[in-house]
Amino acid sequence: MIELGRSAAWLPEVCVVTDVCRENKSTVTLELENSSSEPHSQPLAGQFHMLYAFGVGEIPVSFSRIESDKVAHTVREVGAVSKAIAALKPGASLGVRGPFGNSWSVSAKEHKHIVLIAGGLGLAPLRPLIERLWQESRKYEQILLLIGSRDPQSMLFTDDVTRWRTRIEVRRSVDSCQFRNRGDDWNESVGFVHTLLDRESELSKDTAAFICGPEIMMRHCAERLVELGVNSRQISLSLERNMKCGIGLCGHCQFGPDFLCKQGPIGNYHNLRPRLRIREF
Amino acid sequence: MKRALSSCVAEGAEGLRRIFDQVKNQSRCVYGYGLSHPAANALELCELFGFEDLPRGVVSNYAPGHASLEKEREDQTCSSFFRHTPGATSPKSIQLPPRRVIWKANRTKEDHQKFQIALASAEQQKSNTLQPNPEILPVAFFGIRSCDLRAMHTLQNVFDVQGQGVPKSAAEMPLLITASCVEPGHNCFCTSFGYGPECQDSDLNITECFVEEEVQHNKGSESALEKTKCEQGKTARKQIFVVDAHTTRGRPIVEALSKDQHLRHASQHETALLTATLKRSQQRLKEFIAARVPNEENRSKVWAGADIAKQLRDQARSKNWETIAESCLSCGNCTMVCPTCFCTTVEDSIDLEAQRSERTQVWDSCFTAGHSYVHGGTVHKSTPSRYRQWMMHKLSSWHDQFGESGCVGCGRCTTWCPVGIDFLASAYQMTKGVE
Ligand SMILES: Cc1cc2nc3c(=O)[nH]c(=O)nc-3n(C[C@H](O)[C@H](O)[C@H](O)COP(=O)(O)OP(=O)(O)OC[C@H]3O[C@@H](n4cnc5c(N)ncnc54)[C@H](O)[C@@H]3O)c2cc1C
Ligand code: SF4
Ligand code: SF4
Repeated sequence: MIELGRSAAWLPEVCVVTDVCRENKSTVTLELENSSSEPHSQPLAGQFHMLYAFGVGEIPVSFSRIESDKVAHTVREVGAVSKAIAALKPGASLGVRGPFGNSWSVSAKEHKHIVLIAGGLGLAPLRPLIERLWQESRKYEQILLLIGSRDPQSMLFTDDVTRWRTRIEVRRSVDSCQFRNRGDDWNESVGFVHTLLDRESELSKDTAAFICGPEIMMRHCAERLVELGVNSRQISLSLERNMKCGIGLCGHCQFGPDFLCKQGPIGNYHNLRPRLRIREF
Repeated sequence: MKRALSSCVAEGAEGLRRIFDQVKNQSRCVYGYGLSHPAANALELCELFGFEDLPRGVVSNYAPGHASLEKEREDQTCSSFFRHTPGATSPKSIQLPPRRVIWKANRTKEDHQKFQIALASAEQQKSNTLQPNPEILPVAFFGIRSCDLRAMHTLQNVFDVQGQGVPKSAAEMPLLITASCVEPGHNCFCTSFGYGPECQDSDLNITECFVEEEVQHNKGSESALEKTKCEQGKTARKQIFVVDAHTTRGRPIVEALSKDQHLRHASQHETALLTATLKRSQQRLKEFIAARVPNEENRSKVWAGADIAKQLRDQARSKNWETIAESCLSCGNCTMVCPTCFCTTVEDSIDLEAQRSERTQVWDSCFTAGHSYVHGGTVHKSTPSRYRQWMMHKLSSWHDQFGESGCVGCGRCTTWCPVGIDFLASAYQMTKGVE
């Protein structure tokens, strides 16, 4: 009765960074070899890894690309660990644990209409899902992707967006655009991302929605979708809480009854709504 | 109360010493409540190297926000062994050490960008667990209480449900020798969860009883009896330890000691004494609980059940959290002394040459700002929101997560709260009047 957790779960595997790509001033994408050879341990869209930077610390980071031979993580430099990870060069070691958490679930049998809403870095965890929908776009009647960002300079994955536009509808908006009057080439919307839904008067009942971004933005978007007729059970959000272990033992990621590293990070709005309305919960 | 008819009796301190030695001989090490050093005024769960390490003649005096120990009496022949209740630390400190290095990382000499990671000790590497390799002898706990046992199961259940428990053979399980609480503490409320003050699911339970009357002489064992009685005015006081074995591991201990005449069957008189001793303890617990939970209905049924889980969930947005937590300092003492709180954080340290790094797992508390920190701020900013996390986790979400209560009724959080917030009374306040 007195033995504790297996260490394997706490012990990172050391991986090699194969490629590094700067997305914008504060965001970097790192590529790693996909070491999971067995199909059942393949990461799923929406899951995350715990990434360890030598001597600095370990943080949860979602998959922003999942391919058979490689995976990518997109990291925004906000503090000590994310800065250390973003500073890595190709060939450097990175400690990796996971994949952890649940995944975005979508089925062409149940849903014909898909809405994806990304706020800021929230586009990164959605990208593997978008890629899959893009490949299978023929199975759906409509796929709508809304992307919000602070300003044009911080818009992520612009090359991908151009490609996605060939098969799915992408609307983008920036919170503000200082250079608008000075010949900047931003000719898309300005305003918070949920205002991109204003063009819709009603959404089909079989719509599935996937939202990732700051909590307040996700709440606004989800409420708007409910008003437009989307079933709250079909709205998925990805939540963020402090995480130290990824295996349900450190206690930090609790959100009421859920450990977000296991029962989350993704949940449906119907279940989450009562808790999201409680202040400081 | 239902009880086995096979209770045995050990007489006096000598009798208890025999039991202890028997347990010690068949265990890798023995843990129990003791004084960390002779002058200490606090009990803690520590290794008991010998019988002398048991806190003899020590009575605990606990109230909300108050813990002190008193010397019972100068009398060495009859002073008690188990009239105290548990100390601030609990078996949790063995199950989940407050601080432990989990792994070490080393930079590669040739290429500064590269590093390797390995478990902290060779032993850990060998067993692939974070604990030393289990040896053939199990560890033993001696003199822990029914709430301690309940808490050990509750904490183990957390590891198991999360898929991180290490399967163990029966022989590797710790040997559990419990003691009945004959003098319950003011903050205790185990019986409102349906167990205590004696323990019926350990390997062996010991109840210390005192006979305050003329000693009945028995020719065969006159000299032994002489040793264990002490004169107090005209009456004599005799100390006996009633032993009940509950398992196939407890019974051989009783058998071995009986064979050597260190244990004998309890007489009718002694069985009656045992019943009276436990009844008195139960009565006291009832009074202590009634002082905090005036409503009989609430007192008897809700605490362990799912009712309270729902009642508290319905109160999540209540303003009353502010009232309850008004004096709370957010110090986290309650979570540190809680025998089931399992939150931990990690610390990374690095040597001066930046070549070697260690990751250490340390206890954490939901009363810290760091516990719910995400970039941009702390989710649980205010103290009432932290108090709500603590109480709702113990009494509500624990049921959802692990199918049982996260609170075991030991009362430590109340005893060691510097401002004396009474957990039981607060929980009652939060739920009263709610159907
Ligand atoms: C499921 C999940 C997926 C995530 N995916 C990404 C991603 O794809 N890209 C990305 O850039 N960021 C992602 N984050 C956020 C990222 O983990 C934080 O930005 C990061 O922990 C900040 O660490 P820091 O040391 O650089 O910053 P600091 O602000 O100095 O943080 C100190 C410590 O607090 C904790 N912490 C701080 N912010 C967060 C947070 N938001 N979530 C959890 N723990 C936090 C960490 O333990 C961190 O080490 C994700 C978070 C979660 C929970
Ligand atoms: S969240 Fe708080 S109450 Fe729950 S186990 Fe962690 S420290 Fe204890
Ligand atoms: S309830 Fe008491 S022990 Fe717990 S954090 Fe508040 S002041 Fe500290």
